[in-house]
Amino acid sequence: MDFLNRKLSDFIASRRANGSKTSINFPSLSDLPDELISLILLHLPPRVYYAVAPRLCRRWNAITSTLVDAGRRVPAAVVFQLMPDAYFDRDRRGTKVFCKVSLLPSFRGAGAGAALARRNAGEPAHHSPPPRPTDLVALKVSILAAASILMDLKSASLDRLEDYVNEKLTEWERPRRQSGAPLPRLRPVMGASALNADWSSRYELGASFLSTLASFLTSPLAEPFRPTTLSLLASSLTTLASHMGATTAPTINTLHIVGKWTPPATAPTASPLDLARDVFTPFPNVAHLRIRSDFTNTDHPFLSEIVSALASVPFDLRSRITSLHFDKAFSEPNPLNDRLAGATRHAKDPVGLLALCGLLPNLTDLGAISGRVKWNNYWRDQPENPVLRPAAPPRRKQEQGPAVSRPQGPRPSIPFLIHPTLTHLTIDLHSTPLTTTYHRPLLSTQFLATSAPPYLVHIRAISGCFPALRVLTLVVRAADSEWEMRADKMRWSDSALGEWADLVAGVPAREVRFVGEGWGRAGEMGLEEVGEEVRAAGRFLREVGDKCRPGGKVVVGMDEVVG
Amino acid sequence: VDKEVADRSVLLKNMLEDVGESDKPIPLPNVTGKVLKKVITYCEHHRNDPLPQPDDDLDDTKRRSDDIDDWDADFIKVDNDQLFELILAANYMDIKPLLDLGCKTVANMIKGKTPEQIREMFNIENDFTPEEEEQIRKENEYVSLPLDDSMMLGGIACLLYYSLCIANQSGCQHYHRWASES
Repeated sequence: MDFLNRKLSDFIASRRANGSKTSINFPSLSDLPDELISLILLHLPPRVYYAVAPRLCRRWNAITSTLVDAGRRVPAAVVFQLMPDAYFDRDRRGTKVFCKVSLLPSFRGAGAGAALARRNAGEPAHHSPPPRPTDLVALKVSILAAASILMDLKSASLDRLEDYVNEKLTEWERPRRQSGAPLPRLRPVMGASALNADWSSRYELGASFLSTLASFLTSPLAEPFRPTTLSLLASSLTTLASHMGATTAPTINTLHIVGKWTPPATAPTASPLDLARDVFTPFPNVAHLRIRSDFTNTDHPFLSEIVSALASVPFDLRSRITSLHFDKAFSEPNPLNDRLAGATRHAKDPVGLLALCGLLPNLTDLGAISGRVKWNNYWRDQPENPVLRPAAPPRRKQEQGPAVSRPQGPRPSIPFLIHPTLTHLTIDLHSTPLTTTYHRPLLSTQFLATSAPPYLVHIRAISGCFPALRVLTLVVRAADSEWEMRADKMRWSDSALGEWADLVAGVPAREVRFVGEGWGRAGEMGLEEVGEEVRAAGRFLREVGDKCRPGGKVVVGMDEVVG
Repeated sequence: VDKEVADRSVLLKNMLEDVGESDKPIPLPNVTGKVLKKVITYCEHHRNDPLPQPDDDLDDTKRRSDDIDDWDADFIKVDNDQLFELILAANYMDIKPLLDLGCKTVANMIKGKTPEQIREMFNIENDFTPEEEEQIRKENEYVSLPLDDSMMLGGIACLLYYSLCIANQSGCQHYHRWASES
């Protein structure tokens, strides 16, 4: 019987390889009529739809073209992103280009992530997937032309923005498309949801642009564009705030402060404390704060500076902040700022973030604490030191949150600040300056398999400071290296799996998420057509999850959250 | 099969309305018994779901492929041959939610894969000439370049440093240390 089955399988395989139909007519994808293939295509994200599907074969190419002609539009949120003029060149006719359009990856990695976010209905709003847009459109604008384009937008409507974006896309793309194949029609549904002008301190914005921006943000005419995110260098923000005067921009709920918190050239003697207060005053509804580095400049602010500066922000503004995300450059000493910290007598405070949390009483989401390199060094170089001893907690913390003895952890005698409201904590297990800006981290199971012990102490101790913690997210990144993904290295030792299971069982969170490219697929399981590394990640999730399930813990894999 | 279950299929619903009350079997020549059994399982599970509305197609949120619930995800875990049979059956019997489920599943299988991997998985013949393929790739370049310039600069810096390490005959260990510590 087996012999007959094998023969039958061989026969079918050989007929298929020859491109002929078998008498036993199993349908394949190619057997589906065009309208069904169109339906499948409509479920693909725009990036796959436009960049992959047309490349499969002539038939799929023709179907995608037909669908574009039928008016398929890409729902998108527009990011107004200022770039240095050098980024733009001239078109074929020699005309200087001031504006480019590009499509960026989706907000969310989809897969298990979106479904999971919906399931956890009790989560804060910013953990739910955005309602409609499937992709971001970056309207990259030259700094030289930014002010005039912003003025145009100010007097335009959302429909006008759609025309504008599509016009720019056509201008930029059409000359490069020899076949005359149609372009996707972009449909901005959220307008200028973000205004990014944080290229670097080398291209700091001029006062005239900041004046225009202030006028744009405070104008009722800008309402259709609903800018919700503002990303600027710290010094530009202070200048912008001074232009805004007593007016406010209530739609801004996410603020990215980039680079060192230095005074602007116009007020070189201002102190960082004044700067922080000034920066927040025009934006009374900021709930999400992101503190990022200027990647072209290693002159980062120190954590202690940021703690002091935020302490000067009025309490009612501070108390609105529910999520705080950091570049790892600030979160603890590292090779870049260790030396600087030593030279300027700044304390090396590996858990200074906890002191900072005390300033934000309603914080529920603390993101991107670096979980790796320097912790290893502390552990290795100073094993006798109280590794998790925080710097002397600021006196002000007495006003907002009680400092109590930490009931558990490596050194119970150390007084530890416990934050009572934080429910979501993200720890970046392997951030580097490169991977921090690289939004699509590689899957690296080898990394987890070999690096477990140093992490465990760190993760368990930090997460133990948040008794209300519900979701612990561990961002898993590889060091830009393909060799770490080699399938022959994907061997889990029982001890490594056991250590991770102990960690998951020991943290207060009821759900532990492993986030990185491929982890969503690994978590979905059941898909056979995946690579070795995804299978290895799937095994990791399954086995750690099985070990922790009796304790009511959930272990999931999610793709990287973008945006 | 209950009428309530059969009504999930627009084809059957219309046929039943035409035939009226009768015990006569309804022929479904394009659906095999095995697939029909699977379709009935689906319809029985979803018998109380609201019927899809005609304007659902206009709603972009309905086109998401990541909103498959747990039961459906388990239901659709079948081999490729059966998956396509189910899609064809759902199309023939006009069961839109099942058709959507099948299409979303195929879309999920496509996502994250290169054209080569997709061709291999679904046995699709690449009938482009190399020139045509290159042309199409170029035309869609702008959607396949997610890297910001900052990221590209980072990558270039990384490669330069790696090259320098090799030039200094210090091997890649030096690079590894630098990459992990920075």
